[in-house]
Amino acid sequence: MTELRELERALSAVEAEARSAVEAAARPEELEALRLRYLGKKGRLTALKREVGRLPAELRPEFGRMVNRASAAIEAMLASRLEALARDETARRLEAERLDVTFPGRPWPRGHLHPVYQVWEAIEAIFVAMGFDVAEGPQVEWDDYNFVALNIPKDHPARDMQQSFYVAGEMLLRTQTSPVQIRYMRARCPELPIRMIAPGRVFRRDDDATHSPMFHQVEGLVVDRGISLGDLKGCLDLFAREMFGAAARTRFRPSYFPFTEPSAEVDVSCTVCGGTGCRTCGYSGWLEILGAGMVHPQVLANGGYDPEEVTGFAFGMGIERIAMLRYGVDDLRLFFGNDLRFLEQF
Amino acid sequence: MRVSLEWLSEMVTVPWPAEELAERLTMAGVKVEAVRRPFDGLSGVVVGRVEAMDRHPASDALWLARVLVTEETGTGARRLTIVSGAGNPRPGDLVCVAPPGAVLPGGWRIDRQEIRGQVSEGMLLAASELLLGAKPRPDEEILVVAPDASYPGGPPRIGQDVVSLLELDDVVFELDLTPNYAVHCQSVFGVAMEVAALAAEVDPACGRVRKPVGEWAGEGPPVSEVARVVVEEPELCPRYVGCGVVELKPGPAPLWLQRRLAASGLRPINNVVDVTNYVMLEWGQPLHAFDAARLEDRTIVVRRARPKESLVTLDGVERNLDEEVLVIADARRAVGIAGVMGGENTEVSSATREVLLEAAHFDPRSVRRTSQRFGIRSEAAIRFEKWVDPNTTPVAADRAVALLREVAGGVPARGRIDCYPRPYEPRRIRVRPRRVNLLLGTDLDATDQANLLERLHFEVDAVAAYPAPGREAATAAQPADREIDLWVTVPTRRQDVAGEADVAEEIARLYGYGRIASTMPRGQLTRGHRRPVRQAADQVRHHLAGLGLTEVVTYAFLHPGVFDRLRLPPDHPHRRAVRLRNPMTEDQSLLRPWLVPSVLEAAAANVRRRADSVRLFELGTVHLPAGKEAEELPREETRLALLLWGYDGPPAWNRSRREVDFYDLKGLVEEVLAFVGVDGAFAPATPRITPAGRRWSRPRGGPLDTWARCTRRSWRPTAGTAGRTWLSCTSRPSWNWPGPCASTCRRPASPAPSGTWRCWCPGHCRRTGWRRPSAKGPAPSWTAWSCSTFTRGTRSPKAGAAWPTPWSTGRRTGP
Repeated sequence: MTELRELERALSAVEAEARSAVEAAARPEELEALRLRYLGKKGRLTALKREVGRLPAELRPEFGRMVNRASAAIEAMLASRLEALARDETARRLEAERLDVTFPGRPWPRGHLHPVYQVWEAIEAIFVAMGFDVAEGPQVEWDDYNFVALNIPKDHPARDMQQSFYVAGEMLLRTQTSPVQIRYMRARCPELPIRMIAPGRVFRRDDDATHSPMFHQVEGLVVDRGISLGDLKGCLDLFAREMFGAAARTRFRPSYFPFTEPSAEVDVSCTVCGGTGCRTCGYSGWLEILGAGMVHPQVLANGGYDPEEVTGFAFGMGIERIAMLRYGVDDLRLFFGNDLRFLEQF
Repeated sequence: MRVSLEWLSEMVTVPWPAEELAERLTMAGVKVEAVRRPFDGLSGVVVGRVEAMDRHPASDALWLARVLVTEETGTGARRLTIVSGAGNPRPGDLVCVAPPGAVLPGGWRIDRQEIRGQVSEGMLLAASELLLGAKPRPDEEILVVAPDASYPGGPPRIGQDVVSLLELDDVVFELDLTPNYAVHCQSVFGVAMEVAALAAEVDPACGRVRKPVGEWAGEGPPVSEVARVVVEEPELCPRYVGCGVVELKPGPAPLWLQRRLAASGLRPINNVVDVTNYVMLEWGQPLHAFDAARLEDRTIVVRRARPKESLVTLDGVERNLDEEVLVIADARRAVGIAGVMGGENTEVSSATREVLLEAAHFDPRSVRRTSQRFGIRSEAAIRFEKWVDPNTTPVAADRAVALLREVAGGVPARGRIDCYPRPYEPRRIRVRPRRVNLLLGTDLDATDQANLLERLHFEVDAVAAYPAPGREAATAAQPADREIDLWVTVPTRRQDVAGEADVAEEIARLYGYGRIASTMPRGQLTRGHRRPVRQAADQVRHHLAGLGLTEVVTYAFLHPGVFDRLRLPPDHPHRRAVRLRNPMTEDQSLLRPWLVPSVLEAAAANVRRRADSVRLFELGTVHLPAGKEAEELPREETRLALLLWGYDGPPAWNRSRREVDFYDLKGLVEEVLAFVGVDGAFAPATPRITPAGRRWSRPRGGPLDTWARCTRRSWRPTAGTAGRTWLSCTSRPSWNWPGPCASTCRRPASPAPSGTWRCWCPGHCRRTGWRRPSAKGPAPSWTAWSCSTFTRGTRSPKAGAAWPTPWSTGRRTGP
């Protein structure tokens, strides 16, 4: 029995020694060395284990249990210390790598699309979704297409409204996107239905805060059997709601264009005051946004269609005008001044 | 066009207040731009009686008047001493007095003031001051109020407020007339017809218009003794009516007439001229009064001008005439440009005793050409060039004669000259009510439509024409519905109504556009398409914006000097540009054949505004002259221009910025190419772009600029078909387009060797699908470009090879 007590004391001593050593260890490598020193093949505990031979057989199992308990205790000591060390290490690293998130970030350059083209795309998207094709025509146009085929013969007073730039002979810079109507109809005839819009550049001899020698328009044309003025109202109502919000209302006033009959001027409820009257709408509650009408029978005929068989409607709007309303810009020239300080706000 | 409500109310009963009438007219297509109260602000002006009129003691030009402004009653009479600039009123005359505290139109406040040592207690008013709030003409006299009963508010009383005497609380509508409505709404009568048509809906009695006709009997000599008329050009002057009035007494017109002219924006002159203007406003028929005594041989000839003939018009300008111009002449010389302006030589003056009144119908195109040529936009020309109803001409002449008798004491000559060889007949238009409904999306039966048209004073005959389609099978019990045709007779004053569609518009606007229900087009569903090249272009624009470039839109015009400034060789193809025949300014006289000058200008403007880094792009059109210049439209191409200038990015606290160089730009070009899926290679090329001489400054160690141009002949981003894209870039590290130091004008030390680059793309697309990432390492990136040599077997595109445009460039009339 005395040997057993001796060995037990020795075990306790080793365990106590290991405990103080483990607690003193500061790095994972030291812990590994301690593990070898106490638990390894040549370790202290292994050496004690060999003393089992000195004991009588009936005491050996008890000694075995004692050794195992000590061994487990040391293992646990090592593991917990290792874990503590790792925790400390992470904390230290985090402390070392700490960022001041309140410092400003490094900026990335950001480009901007031109506001007129943003509106152009928005208009296109609405009409393409309604089944309209997007058509194009040349900017340098024949007088025939720009005027004559659209029912504006020479000496027609309507030419006063559109002072043109002439190029050579009968060639001019188109004053409206309407000639695309004729080109499109002639290219498609006798196909039905025709639903197209033609956005593009137009030119007029005008230059002030509300006129520019170059600006952009979108033309629209629908030709089919049984198209009515009611259909024109329906399409443009939908467009106005898509463009200016669900609360937008439209108002159709009789007007005059040589290539439509009946013709209408279309107003939309003021985007600023909603129709109660403000400075933007001149206290009328309405903003003029586009001209429209039923395609004149002569224009249908010029396009190759039989006006007795089909009817159609057409409309045209200024893209800058809509961009000015949408963004509250009050001077048309800002769009073509290309001041980056202006463009970068869109 | 301005229309007075008071004048309008004389012809038609207006059942609405002014604002509502304006709204209703606007919604019927006669746009009322503004509702004005021109005499608003006028207050305190009263009628006074002149008791004495003496010379001002200290001035020859001034007068001193004593005026009674309050009659002797319980409170006692009130008299004012007023310094006046004109001395025409006699003691006993009634005048308009603005006592201290009175306000004239436009907010002009009258105060007591001392003039040459005399205190003036107010002002005696001339017509311009009272009606327009304007300074009087130098020779204008004080307005004398005739003591008769011809005023809206009864005979004038001393101390009466002139607002009530002359109805100066009038409302004036300013009309913004479209070319077609201008035809018949450029007169009070025309607007009255519109109002009547609208008002008839409320009350049929309001649908009647009281025509302001003039009745007179010839009491003087026969008109042939006043003048005779020969029309040599009946094509250009289809109708000429002439009336004579003798024994005229020119002088100021009565107040009511002056007031209506002033309300319509015309300045009163004298009673004869005022009457012609008055009738023009009333009936829309311009009139001219010739001083008959000054007509050579008492003859009027309507003829083309002779070569080298000239005429001093009423505005005092000498006009050189030729055969293109239609003139009114006497036996010897021209006395007026037909339909545009009269001549000084036969102008009505205070000495005029007899006049020949001209009321004519001239060819609108001829008047338009003449008025444009001389730059005269007279009230007459504006009306004639639209259309003046030839069948109203004698009515207006009669009205003017009657008025001259009434207000200028004239005696009408017996008879009337009327040259009208081929009378205009009213149009008869066949209108199918079913067709009108189809066009409008309405459901109005023939009677409804006829009623609407009759409100416009159109005559309508209904004719049962043919069985309604689809209902031919009549049974004994139910006879076939007959389709009704309407035959509409349109008065000649409505020249704009020419076909069924025009009649449909008249129906629609009276019915109300607002009452037509909104529907959506029925029929085949279609999908909207955009051309793939446009989709690609938009994708590239978005991509470039994402890469930090800002889109600009520049004018399509160029200054012709820009090529020299860029030092293009004289024979360089870029110099071939389309020229405008009538540019607004010289710097907008060319259509650009390339984008580079435009984006350079946009960048330069920003540099002048102290931008420190400019990154921009433009996707725009250029115009290249066609081979046969007047017979083929110029070729249009869409091109992309990229420009980098200054620093490579925004400033930051923890990064040093670098100035951009050629390789930044090249990287960008490569990125765009990769984005659209084409491959390319770079090589030096012409043109050499160098800064022009003295006008440009050298940068002071300034930033670097670099630019590139990329032309896309064809752009097929996804398909594997052959496409050809070429692009060229130039780098000019030593050159500064008018930069921030433009004040130091110094020639560049030496034109540094040009860094012009060109990148050829092979004739096919590289990116036709996707590729599995290789396990062996990164896929070979395209490093095969070189700055000096062609690589990878690329070829240059054939010079001048054109790609088909999506539209035809040839000229074609008719379908």
